[in-house]
Amino acid sequence: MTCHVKISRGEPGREGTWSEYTLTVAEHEDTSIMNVLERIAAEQDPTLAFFDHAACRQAACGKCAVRCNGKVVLACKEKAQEEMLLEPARPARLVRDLLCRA
Amino acid sequence: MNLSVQSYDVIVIGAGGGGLRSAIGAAQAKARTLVICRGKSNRSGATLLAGANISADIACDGETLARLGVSQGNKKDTKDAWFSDIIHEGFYLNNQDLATMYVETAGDRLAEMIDWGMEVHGMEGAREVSVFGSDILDTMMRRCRELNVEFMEDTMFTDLLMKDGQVCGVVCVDLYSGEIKALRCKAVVLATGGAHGIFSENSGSSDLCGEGQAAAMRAGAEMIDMEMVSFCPTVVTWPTMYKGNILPYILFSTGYGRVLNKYGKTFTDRYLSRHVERLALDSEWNKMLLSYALNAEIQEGRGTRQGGLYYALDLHPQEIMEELYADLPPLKTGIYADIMKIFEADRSLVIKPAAHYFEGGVRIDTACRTSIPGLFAAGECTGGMFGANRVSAATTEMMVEGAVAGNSAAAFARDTSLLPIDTAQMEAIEAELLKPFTNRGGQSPEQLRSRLHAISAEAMPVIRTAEKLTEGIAAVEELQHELEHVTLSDTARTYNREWRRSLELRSMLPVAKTMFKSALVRDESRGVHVRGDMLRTSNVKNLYNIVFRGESLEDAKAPAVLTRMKPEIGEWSYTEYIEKIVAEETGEEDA
Repeated sequence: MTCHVKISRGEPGREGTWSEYTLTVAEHEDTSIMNVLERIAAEQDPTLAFFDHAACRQAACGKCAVRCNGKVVLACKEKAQEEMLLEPARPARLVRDLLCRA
Repeated sequence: MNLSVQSYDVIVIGAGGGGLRSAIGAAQAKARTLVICRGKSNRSGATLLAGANISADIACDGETLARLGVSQGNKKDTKDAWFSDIIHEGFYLNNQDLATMYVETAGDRLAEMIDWGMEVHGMEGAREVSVFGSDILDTMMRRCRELNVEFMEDTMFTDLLMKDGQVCGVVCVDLYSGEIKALRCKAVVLATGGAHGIFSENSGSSDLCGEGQAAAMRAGAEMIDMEMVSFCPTVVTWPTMYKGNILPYILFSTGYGRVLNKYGKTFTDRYLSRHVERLALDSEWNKMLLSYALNAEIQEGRGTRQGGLYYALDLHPQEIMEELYADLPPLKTGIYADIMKIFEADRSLVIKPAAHYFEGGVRIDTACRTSIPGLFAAGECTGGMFGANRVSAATTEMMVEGAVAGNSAAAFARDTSLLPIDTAQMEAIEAELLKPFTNRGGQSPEQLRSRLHAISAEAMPVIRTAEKLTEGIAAVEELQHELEHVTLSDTARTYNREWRRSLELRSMLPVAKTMFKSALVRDESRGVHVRGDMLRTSNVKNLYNIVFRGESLEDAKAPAVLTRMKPEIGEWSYTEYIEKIVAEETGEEDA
């Protein structure tokens, strides 16, 4: 499937810009939002910031929350969708892009 | 670089169980103690994922468990019997003095955890007390707060500051702001866990990149048994979103499911004798034995197109599914419920052996001192306790060593004064850490990291050869050279993921090189170290530990510490010696 992803970018005081990415995810392959973010960072845009510096990637640490299409979810537990609007989960604690102080 | 006005008696690096228990030990001994951790203080490191956070265990001998009122099921067990098993499981390379410390103090560590409020969920085996990894961390965290331990979170440790060969502080990076900080202290405890990040397939969290081991090496500390890496045989590699999850291992160890090759056939009998195969399928020896058989089958070309094997779980008749959910209730919720849907849809997981536990690491003595004054270490980043194979619990290791390391560091701090900081050293470290920002024309950290993963998969799978290891060492040296020119496209200091990746490589490359070199020097197969080009075990010439001093690859062979038990001297094939060791451990006449 083809994923279209629109991501909120910026640091406190300079938010409000958006980046858009398109990537293809293999059929039958369960891909998480975290996998999509990792692929964007590796293949398209290494400047994207999201929580991954001490991530369990198994829904145990609970620190990788993002807002996906309006709903707060764990990036490692939630499957990627074809159309995704990604925003920081706790904008009041924004550090950069999708990363908020936990 | 900002030199903090605050100074500490003891700084602990890492906030998994080893780090938190070290901090408790230091603070109980009245040291002003700071913990620096990569992530959140009680939600980072390997402890959280122990037993997939559904079935972690803490180990203790049965006699002590009965005395503590935990279980009466194994009353006739003794510490001596447990010690003997650990030495057999480690194929006589364990430092027997460390193993003695382990069996002698495990009960005290378990008792205090229960006293501090950790919940016990029954027994998982004769010596295995069932707990949750998250509860271990939460329990230790409460105790740390009572003792006013200070924390610095989301901060990556990079270097030790040294004065005249003694530790006098640390350098770290605040990952959110990108600020480089220096802190003064009298003693440091390294508790940074394994170096899982070296491997693409690993079962750890993303923060385990060997920063403690690498900093210890730069400071000139001794590293021991670096060739010994336990693989977990059945770790998910596909679907991608569950990569690294050890659930299939938990299911398999509970008794469910089968591992199949690409043709849908079982195959472990190709590589293991009937007796050893039984152990691989039904005993706690399964990690080592299955990793060997699975890796061999993949190397023979019978793996799946994703490069692994199938873990198949037949849930028919429905009663089997009911039994499974009764045995493991957490499967009904959260991420595990998602994974179970794959089996319910008659699909399987692709699994393969993944780097899981590092027996080797920073060499310590029974006071958890390293060879550097003021530097102590605890938990998985240390080496020597388990020799050539760990079967008994790493959770117990981290608590046993943490308690000793914290206490030793506090005692050292009491007898020493704060040393002056060498500003030239501080400036040199800062310049090295910031160099990627001014480099031009080199490869990206992501490219170098992918190359390291390709190299480690070739050089350091379960079954290694001298040829591949030699190539691997040269390839890592090439990467080290290229890392000097690593180039970032992101120039911001705030949460710069690329910069962090380059700092991780600065640790992982020297640690990987030392592992490969160690595996090359040990020209035999023993425990988890399998040399496909040398499938023999020799107690005639190989009863030694491989020790490297600092970053030098001049190896020294130190005689194994055989204080209490000595092995039979002889030479056997790899699997013959496994049969012999197992027969000795279980007290059978002949296997």
